[in-house]
Amino acid sequence: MKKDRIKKNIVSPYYLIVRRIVLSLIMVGAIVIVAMMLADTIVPLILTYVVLIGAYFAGIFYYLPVCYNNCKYYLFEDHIVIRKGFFIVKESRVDYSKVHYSVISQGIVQRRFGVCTVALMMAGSKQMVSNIAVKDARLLKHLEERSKKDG
Amino acid sequence: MDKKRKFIKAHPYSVIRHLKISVLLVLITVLQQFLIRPRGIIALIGSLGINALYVIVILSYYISVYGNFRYRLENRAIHIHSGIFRKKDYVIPYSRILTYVFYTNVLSVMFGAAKVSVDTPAGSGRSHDVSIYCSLRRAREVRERILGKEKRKPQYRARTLSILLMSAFWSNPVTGFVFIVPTIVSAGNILGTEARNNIVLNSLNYRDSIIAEYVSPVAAFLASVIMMAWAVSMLLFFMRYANFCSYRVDQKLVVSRGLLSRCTTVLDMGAVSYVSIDKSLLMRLLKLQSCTVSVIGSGKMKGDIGMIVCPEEKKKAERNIRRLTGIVPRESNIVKPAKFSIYSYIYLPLYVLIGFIILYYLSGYMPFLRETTVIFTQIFSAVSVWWLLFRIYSYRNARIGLCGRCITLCGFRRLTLKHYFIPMDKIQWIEISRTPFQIKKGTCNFRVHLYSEKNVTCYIKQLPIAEVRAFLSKCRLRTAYPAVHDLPIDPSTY
Repeated sequence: MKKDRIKKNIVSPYYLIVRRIVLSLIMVGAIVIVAMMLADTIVPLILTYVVLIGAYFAGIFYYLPVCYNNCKYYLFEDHIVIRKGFFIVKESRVDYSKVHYSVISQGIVQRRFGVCTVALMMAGSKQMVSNIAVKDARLLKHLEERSKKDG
Repeated sequence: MDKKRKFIKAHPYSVIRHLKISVLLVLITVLQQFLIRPRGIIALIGSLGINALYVIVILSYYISVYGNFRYRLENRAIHIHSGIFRKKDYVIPYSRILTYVFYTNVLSVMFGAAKVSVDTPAGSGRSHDVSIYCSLRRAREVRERILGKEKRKPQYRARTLSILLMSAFWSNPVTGFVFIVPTIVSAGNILGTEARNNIVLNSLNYRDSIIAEYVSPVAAFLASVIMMAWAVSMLLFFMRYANFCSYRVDQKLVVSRGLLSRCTTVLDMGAVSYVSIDKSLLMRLLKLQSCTVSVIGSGKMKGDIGMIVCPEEKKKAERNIRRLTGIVPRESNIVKPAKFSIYSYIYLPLYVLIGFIILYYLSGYMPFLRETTVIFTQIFSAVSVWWLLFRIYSYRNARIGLCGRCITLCGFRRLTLKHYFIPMDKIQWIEISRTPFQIKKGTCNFRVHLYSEKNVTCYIKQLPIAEVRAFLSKCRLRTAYPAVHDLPIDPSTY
């Protein structure tokens, strides 16, 4: 198995920073919405802010690092192994021959750090390989296309 | 190596088609101002404000979608770039595409545009995987790539009469509501008369006077709305299925239909999950039958999914089915439901019918709405009898069997008797379920799960378990793969 492994783990080092920025943007949006909704009531407003900020820091300093540590994408010649999760860590193997087509998407924050998300579309389900470097996404796409040509 | 081509923009018609709604929105406001309640120009601009803002936002969104959409038809795949904020990059190999749908309508042809949609097994089942608005020339290029440059004559062309019948009765979703119309009208009339009598007999009552004056016209209005909806639905359905024709090009099946907006579907015959011959009770009385196929991707089309032969006489339908799909509907090794199991087919309509009969006799003791209840029960008893007859008909025809390399299942789905022909390699698994009563009686329910994005299953009730087991062992002999328990235990010896 080790012989046909191409890359050990292709998760980008920017994984954490990208997800932290996205979470912060969501937080800003939530603060604005809560301020608009509970402008007249001080106590519920403060309580909601306390909960929100607590959740935000728990997300930034605990949830996201654990997710990052659990997230591994092992690239092989004919398949990819995707390992991710928080409480329950799931490991799935996707054969390139079973992938019907792939979609590479890049959000605004992802574009700034040169990372992207690859959706591997299969019959009945899809697997997301998120926050990997663009060159690794191209390599993954190349391997997938090559398996189709061989198949 | 792929011949590299430039990425092309979508056809501007993808934006123009949204102008229809925008123009309507603006026009309605202007007409309201000038015809119904004329006011000054400032009031007009004021009332146009929200609609205009909506139009500007919607149009600027679609213009930016159009501006960010690029596609390229490569030698092996379709390559698409899209997305305003989140950029997406699709690569769909031609080898994975099972269904192509080409849409054109009067307006798009005027602008020289067509919509090409493609579907793969990885789709969601709710919408097409990818849709591209391109020029007619490029749509033709895609079509020629799939079907070749040679022009073919349709092998099957549907009669206008059969499409009219289809759109008037069994395929029209509003047909069921037409049964309620006489009930509504007569209930309205009876209520109105009762209220008028009350006014004459007793002193003037405010509630009765309202009922006497308004219920009858409201009921008539409701009935006319339902009849109008039925007529509109029939017209739409007829427009959708007019000029229906189908033909086969090697491994591709082409179905073309539509009057003002034309839809041409190209299905891969190798990916057909099942071919089904459909008959409702009315179709049976008129000695007609239609044929549909299921391919992943074809489920996104509304109405009669994947219809390839419209309702035709038996001989003509069978000839066209053979020509288009290669299936000759002759079966062997037939297994029919157990003789005593008719009850499980008819119990639901039977109980409903008994309920209506009881209600009919009880209506004699009702203090009010007596005549309305009588009419209601009479009409719905007739509907229940129809349902019961259909269930008896489906029990008499229910069976499983073999036809070449296909398993055949004949069972009912809603009010249609469907005769499925399922290629053995398209069967995902077969489920045989038994309740404690069925274990005692030696029967089972037989369900076939198919390769589809919608988890399609075909189902027959109350088959004798011993005969089903014998049937399955015969099926195994016909397949290329041995059953799991037939394999040697040690894999190295195999």
